[in-house]
Amino acid sequence: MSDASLSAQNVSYEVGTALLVDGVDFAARPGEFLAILGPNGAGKSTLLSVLSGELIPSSGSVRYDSTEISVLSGPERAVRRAVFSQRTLIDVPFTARAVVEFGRFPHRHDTSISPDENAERIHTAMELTDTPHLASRVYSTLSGGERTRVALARVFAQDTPIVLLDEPTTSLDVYHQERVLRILRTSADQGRTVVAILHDLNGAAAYADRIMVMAEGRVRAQGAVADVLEPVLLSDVYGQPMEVIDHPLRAGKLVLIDDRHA
Amino acid sequence: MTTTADRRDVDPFSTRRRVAWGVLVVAAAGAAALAVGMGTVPIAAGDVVAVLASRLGLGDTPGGAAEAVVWNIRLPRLVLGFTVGAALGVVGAVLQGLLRNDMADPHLLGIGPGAAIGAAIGASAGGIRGAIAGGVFTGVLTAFALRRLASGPTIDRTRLILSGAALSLALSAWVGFVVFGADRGSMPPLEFWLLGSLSSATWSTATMTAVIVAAATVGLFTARRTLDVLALGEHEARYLGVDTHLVGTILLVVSGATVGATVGAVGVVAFVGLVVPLIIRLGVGPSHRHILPAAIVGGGIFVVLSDVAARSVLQPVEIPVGLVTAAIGGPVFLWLIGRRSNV
Repeated sequence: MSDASLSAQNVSYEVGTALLVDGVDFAARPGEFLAILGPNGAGKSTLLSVLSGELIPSSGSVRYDSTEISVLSGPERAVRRAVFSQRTLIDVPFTARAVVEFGRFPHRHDTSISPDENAERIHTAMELTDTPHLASRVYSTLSGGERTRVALARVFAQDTPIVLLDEPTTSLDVYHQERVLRILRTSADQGRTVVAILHDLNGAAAYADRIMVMAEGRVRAQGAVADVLEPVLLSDVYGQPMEVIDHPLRAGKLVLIDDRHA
Repeated sequence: MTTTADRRDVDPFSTRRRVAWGVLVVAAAGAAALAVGMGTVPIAAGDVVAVLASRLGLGDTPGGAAEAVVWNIRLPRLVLGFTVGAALGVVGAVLQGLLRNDMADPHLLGIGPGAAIGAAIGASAGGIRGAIAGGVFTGVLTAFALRRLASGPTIDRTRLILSGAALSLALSAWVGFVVFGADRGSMPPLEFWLLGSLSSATWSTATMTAVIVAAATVGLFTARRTLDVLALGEHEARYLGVDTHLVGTILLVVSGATVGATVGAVGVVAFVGLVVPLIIRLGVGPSHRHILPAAIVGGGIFVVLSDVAARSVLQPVEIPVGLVTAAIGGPVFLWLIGRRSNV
């Protein structure tokens, strides 16, 4: 627990009488890719907002390393964690390159980073997300999937030890879904802590180190992929019969939707 | 590998921006020439140059009517008009950026009418200095009031704009109470405050206003990158470390002070802060690094040209400059809004 770079202790978030997040505990280490799964309305996005510092938990606490985030200022948080959310995908008249460049905004007062290094980080982030050819396109004229990739490039240009992502693969085609999951894997391998809300169970199974399953604001299970992807649990949580089999092409698990009941 | 050179290459607005600046420079020179040369006493270009040269210690003064008209009347009026337009243009650009809404305008939000209350009271107590001081004071108060009306977990932009519209009408009425309640002759009439006029421009009014506007503009300019980040939305801006509450409050208050100074000097001149930033953005692109300086020049041109029209359309009667800016600005705004829905 002490070497965790991101941790939540008994975090709850309530609005009025509705308890959206209920007593969540977890810790993630540098180098770890944690996937959060669960049905719509499970409280995943709310939890992510709390982890980002955007929402203040009704009780419990969130820490980056050993620092409680409530004592961090906005600029201090922005150099420690980057956030991808569906809200990023609004219309702005800036070029894709300019949107990615915003990722460097939190570092603007850091004199140890040269302009060339800044440009290099932007370039790397765009290469990583397959977006260099979109650089001079106006963001609002891009397709949904292109916007998602540019917004992801912005997140990686921010170059923070913690990366929080809310459904980063949702509007992408199969090629780019795989590509984004691989990027998240690589980012974690480079020492970052990656926490992503995913709806793609098999993507999570293939790339994440650990999975947390949420339902009705609570953590229903968390742990290694093989332990958590369990048909009874998944069928119950999603209200949809599922089966988990050994992957036919490699070691690991494959989740199947049992459509015979449909 | 990636250098500043190819950063320039990826900017699709650079050509358009060069054209826009060309137009602005030519228009500014033309507006200045018209403002100094035209009027009941036409002044030849040579005389204007001679007056300026003599003031700079280059050559003899031409003396006579030309000197008095150019130096004592038209030049201060030109400087004041440009200053007021520049202030309204830049404040409009900042408010539209902050609130991400094209209806954001210092006067439509009530800051102008709010400032006019203090300016009118200040005028009766202390002339032009009192008017500017009073305008700044109640301009800032109105900005605070707006900020309070829209406070919550996030700045509620819709509520702010709706509150501002109501505030604007209510405060305009209060300007009337102040003016009609005061001694006739102790302050300019209601039409001056609500429609604006540059007719009483002097060098001291122009300099005082210019100093305040310049200082405030420098301050607003430091927020240019933050305003760009705010374009991504308030949540995104916070993810990138912007304290959106603090930034919103500071920008509103500085806007209130800037607009307050212009209202103290010339009254409420409508539509400049609304229309100028919209046109400027079409020309220079979305980055506030380019929008703010262009809005300064564009606003200045708009008010100077409107003042030329105010002096000449119903000659020898001079009409309030705000009538001209509204008569032009209204249709232009409608055209801009209509144009948008077609793309």
